[in-house]
Amino acid sequence: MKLKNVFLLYRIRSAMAGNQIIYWLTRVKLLNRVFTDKLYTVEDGKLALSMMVSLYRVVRALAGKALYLAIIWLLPLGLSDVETFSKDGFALSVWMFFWLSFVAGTMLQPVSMEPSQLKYTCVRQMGMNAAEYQNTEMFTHHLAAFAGFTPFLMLWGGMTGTGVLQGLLLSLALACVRILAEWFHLELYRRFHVMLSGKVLYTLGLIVLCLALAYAPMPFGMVPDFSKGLLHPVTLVVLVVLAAVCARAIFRYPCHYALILTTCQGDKLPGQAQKKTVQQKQFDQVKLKDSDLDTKADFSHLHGWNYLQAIFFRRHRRMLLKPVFIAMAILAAVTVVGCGLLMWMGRDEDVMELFGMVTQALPLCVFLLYSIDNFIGERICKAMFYNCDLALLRYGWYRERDAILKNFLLRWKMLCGVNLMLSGTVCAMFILLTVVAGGRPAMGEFILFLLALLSLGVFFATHSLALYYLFQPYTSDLDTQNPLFKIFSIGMYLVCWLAMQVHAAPTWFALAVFAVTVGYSVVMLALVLRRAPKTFRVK
Amino acid sequence: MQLILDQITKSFGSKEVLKGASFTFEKGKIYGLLGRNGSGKTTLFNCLAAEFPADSGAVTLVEDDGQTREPKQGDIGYVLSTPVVPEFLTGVEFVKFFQEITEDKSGRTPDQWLELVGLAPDDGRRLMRGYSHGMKHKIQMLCFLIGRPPVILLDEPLTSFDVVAALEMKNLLREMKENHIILFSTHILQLAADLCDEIVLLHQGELEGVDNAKIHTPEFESYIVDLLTQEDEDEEEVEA
Repeated sequence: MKLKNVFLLYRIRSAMAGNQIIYWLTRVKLLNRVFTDKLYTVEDGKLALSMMVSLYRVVRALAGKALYLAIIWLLPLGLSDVETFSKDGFALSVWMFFWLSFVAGTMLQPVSMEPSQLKYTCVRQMGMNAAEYQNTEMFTHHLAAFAGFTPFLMLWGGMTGTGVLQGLLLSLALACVRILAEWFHLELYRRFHVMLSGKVLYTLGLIVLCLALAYAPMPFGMVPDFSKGLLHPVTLVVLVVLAAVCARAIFRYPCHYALILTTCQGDKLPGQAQKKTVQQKQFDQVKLKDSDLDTKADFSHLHGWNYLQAIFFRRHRRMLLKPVFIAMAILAAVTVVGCGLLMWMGRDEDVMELFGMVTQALPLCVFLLYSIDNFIGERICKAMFYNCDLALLRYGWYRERDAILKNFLLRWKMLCGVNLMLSGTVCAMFILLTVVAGGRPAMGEFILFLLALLSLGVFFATHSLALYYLFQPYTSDLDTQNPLFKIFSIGMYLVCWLAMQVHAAPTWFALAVFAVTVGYSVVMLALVLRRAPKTFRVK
Repeated sequence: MQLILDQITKSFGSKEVLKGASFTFEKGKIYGLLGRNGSGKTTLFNCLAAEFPADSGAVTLVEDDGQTREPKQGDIGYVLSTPVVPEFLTGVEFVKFFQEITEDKSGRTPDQWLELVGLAPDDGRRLMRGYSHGMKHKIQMLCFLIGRPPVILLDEPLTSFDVVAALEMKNLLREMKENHIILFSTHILQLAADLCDEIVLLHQGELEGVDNAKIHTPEFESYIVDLLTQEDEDEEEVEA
C-alpha cells in the first residue's frame, strides 16, 4: 500500500463531496448568484470546502461513536442493578461491546465487501488498481475507527477505575478482530464465492443472536467476566500476530478486482438501488398494461380535444378508477358495518343525539376528502404527464393558450367527476347511517352539509389539476422537482388539518366551504390561463 | 418568407453557448446547421422553438409581402432527435385528432395522410407504443405536412435511421421544402452535403455561412474542417 493512494482517495472523496455541495448551492435561487459554477474550477475554494467536509466527517464520526457507546452501554447499565462507573460496569460493558462490535459489527459490514460510489468511481470508472484501492480503503477505515474509539474507551476505562490502558487495549483488540474479519470474508469469497454481508437472513439472524447474547444474560446476573480473558496479554499478543498474518494475506489477495466487479454494479450502489426502487414504483403506478390498450371502442363520433381525452380516459380507466373504487369499497364497508351495529344496538337516545349533530363532522370530512382526493388527483396528474403530456408537450401547438384551456377544462370535468363519485359515496354513507341511527339533524343544515361535501370534490379537483398546470413539477423520471409545488402541497395539507380544529356553526362552515371552492376555482382558473402557457412544459 | 436571427445569445451559468448568432434563412431551402459536438446546435433550436428563452437578440419572420413579425407559437415546428408521440393512441387516432385541432382542409383521410409518409393502413391501426423509431419520426413529420408551420427545425433527424427509412425521409424533406424554411442540425458532413441547399456553421457561438459552391466538391470536407478548427488554432496561438 502506498501513502500516495491514501491522499489520492482523500482528494477524490473530497472533490466528490465538494462538487456535490457546489451543485446544490448553484441550484438554490438567490444563493446561485453568489455560488456560480465557476466554483468548480476554483481549486483553493474547493480545498477549503473539502477540509470543511473532512472536519465535519471527523466530528460526525466522533459524535456517532460516543452516541453508539452511550446507547449500547450506558443505557443498559443505567437500567441494571450494577453500578455504572465501577469495575463490574466495565466488565459488563466489555461483554456487550464484544457481541455488538467485535462480532456483529465486523461480521456485518466488512469494508472490502461494501459497495460504494467511491469504489465504483475509482476502480470501475477511473481504472485504479483494485488491490491498491481495497488495501488503502481498509487501512484508512480501520485506522480511523481505531482512532475514533480509542479516546472514548480510554475515558471509559479511567472512569470505571479499570485504567485507561485497559480501554486502549480493548480498542486495539477490536482493530485486530476487524482485520481478521476482513480476511475471513475475503477468503470466503475466494474459496466459495459466498458473500454473507447483505444477505437478509444472515444479517437479521446475526443481529438477533448478538443482541440476545449481549443483553439476555444481564438480568439473570449470568454475564461472565469476559474482559480479563479478552484483555489478557497473551490473548492480545495472539490477536496482534493473527491480525498481522491476515493483513499480509489481504495485501496478497488475488481477487480484489473480481470482488469489486461483483459488489459494485451501477444499480446496486447505495442510493442508486433505493432510487431505482422508488422510480420503479412510480412508473408502475402510471404505466399502461397491454390489457388497458384496447383499440376496439369507437370514438369516431367525438372530435378534437374531446376525442383525445375520451381515448385517454378509456385506456387509463383501470389506473384512474381502481383507487377510487377501492376507496368507495372501504367507505361502503364502513357504512354496512356501521348500519349493522346501529341496528343491532337498536334505537339509543345517545346515538340518536350524536347523529342529530352529524353536520358537525364537516371539518373532519374536509381532511378525510383531502387525503383521498389528493392521493387520487396526484396519481391522475402523474398518469396524464407520463402517458400523454410528456410526449405532446414537445409540440408547440399543445402548449398554445387555447389548447391548454380546452384540455384543462376537459380534464377538470373528468377529475371533478371522479371526486364527485367519492364525495357522493361519503354523502350516501352519512345519509344511511343517520337514517338507521334515527338521527334528526336540521334538514336545511343537513342538505348544506351534503352539498359542502360535494363541493369539496370540486375544490380538490381544481387544486390538484391547477397545481399540475401551474408548476408541472414532474421530470421524465417522475421525480417531483418544483419546490413551489411542494410548498403549495404542504400548505394545502396544513389548511385542511387546521380546518379540523375549527369550531364554527355547521351552516357557516358549509357556506365557507362553498365560498372558498368558488373563489379558489376562479383564481386558479385565471392563474392557469395566465401562467400555464409559460409553465406547463417538460422540465 | 425569411427567418432572421439577430444577435442571439444564450448562457448557462458562466458558459456562453451562443454569442450573438445571426443569420437569414429563406423559404424553399433546406439548411444544414453544422457544428461540432457541444457547439450549441440544440440550444439554438430550443431558443427558436421557445423551449427556453434566449438571453438577448431577436427572431423575426418576414412574410412574402414584406411584413415583419415575431414568430407565433405555431410558426415553428420542432422535431427532437428522439421522436416523441403519445403512445396510448394509434397512428390513425393521432392523425385524426391532429387534423381536427389544426382544422385541416386538405380533404385527406387519416389513412391517406399516413400512406403519404409510407405507413400502411394496418400500421395506422396499431398503438404507437409499438412503432419503431423511424415510424415515430414519420408521424412527427406528418404533423408538419398537416399543420404547415413556416419553419421546421429538425435536430439530428436522420442519424438513427436505417438506409431505407433515411432515404424516404430525405425525399419527404425535399418534397416539403418548397413551402417551408427547413433547418436541420447535424454533425455528419456527408448527410449535410447530400441533402442541404446551404450549409451554415455554428462555431464558437456564432453562425456563419459557407461557400456553397464547394458543397459537392472533393475538398469540401477539408474546407469545413479548416473552418471549424481555424479559430481554435488562433486562440491557441494567442494563449501561447
